[in-house]
Amino acid sequence: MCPLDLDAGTIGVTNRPEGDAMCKLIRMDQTGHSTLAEWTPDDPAAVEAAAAAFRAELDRGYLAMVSTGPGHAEQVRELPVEAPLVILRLPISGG
Amino acid sequence: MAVEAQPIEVLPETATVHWRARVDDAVLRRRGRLWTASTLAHIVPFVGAAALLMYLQPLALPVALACLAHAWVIPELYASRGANVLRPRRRAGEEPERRSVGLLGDLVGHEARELHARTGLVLEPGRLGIWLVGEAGAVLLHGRRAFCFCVKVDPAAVAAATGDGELPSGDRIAHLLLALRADEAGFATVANLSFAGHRRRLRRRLQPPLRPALAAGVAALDRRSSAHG
Repeated sequence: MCPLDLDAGTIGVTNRPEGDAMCKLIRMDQTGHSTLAEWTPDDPAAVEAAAAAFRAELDRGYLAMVSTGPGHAEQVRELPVEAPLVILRLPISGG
Repeated sequence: MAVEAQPIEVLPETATVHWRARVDDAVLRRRGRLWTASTLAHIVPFVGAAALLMYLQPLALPVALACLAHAWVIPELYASRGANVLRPRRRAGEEPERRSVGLLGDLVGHEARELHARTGLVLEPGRLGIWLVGEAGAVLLHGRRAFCFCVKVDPAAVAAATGDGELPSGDRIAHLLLALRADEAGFATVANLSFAGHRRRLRRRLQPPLRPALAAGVAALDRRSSAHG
């Protein structure tokens, strides 16, 4: 079971998924968000597929973020395999 | 195969505004003083002209009153422009809105989630002060001043990524929140400052439903000040 119920307030609480929980790569888009990949760190095929999806979105101009605790986030250029949730966002600009 | 995250400490968007000084406490104070000086530069000539007119010719009262009205209106217009950064934008469909707010709710704590449900704004403590993050801007409470920043998801990037689609409100805020959390100073550097002034001036121009968020931000700032002696 994935620990990241997106209505349950769990993001950023842990840096590693618990037990056999799935990690997720999601993209913020016009649908609210789309799940692009799910994997567990000990599944190389799933990780490779997630890494490919990750790179494809970065090539499209998305930026990847991981929560590193309450109130903190980091941008990453490579898929952090151990992170329970990786969020893809678009660049911001002054209005 | 990628195995480790490589964090990037500086917001990459700052490269698009490379000529700007990176925001810190000193830069904020300086910009705040400049805004105060600019406001005075707008007020003083009109008030002075009104006083001079009344001294030279009391029958010029209507003109003097018009001068005073200008002295009042111009700073209020600036404050109104600042308040506009927190104004809610057009909503997307019901399902995208629900999903985006669900994700946003997962990025913040219970109190911030509850405040967002009431006001549509997210309160985020930062090193520079207390932030109120909206869909197309953010307000930084720094001392008694409120700094209103106009900043949003790059429209060109949205168009390229989604075609004609628009991001739902929760995603718009989440984009800003994640950027802010990754590099607060970079976030404030990328954003355009649209107003800086006493937070009471901002409160007057905020839409009433948004005012509880400002009150919560001021309370959080006061608690922080008390904790730091």
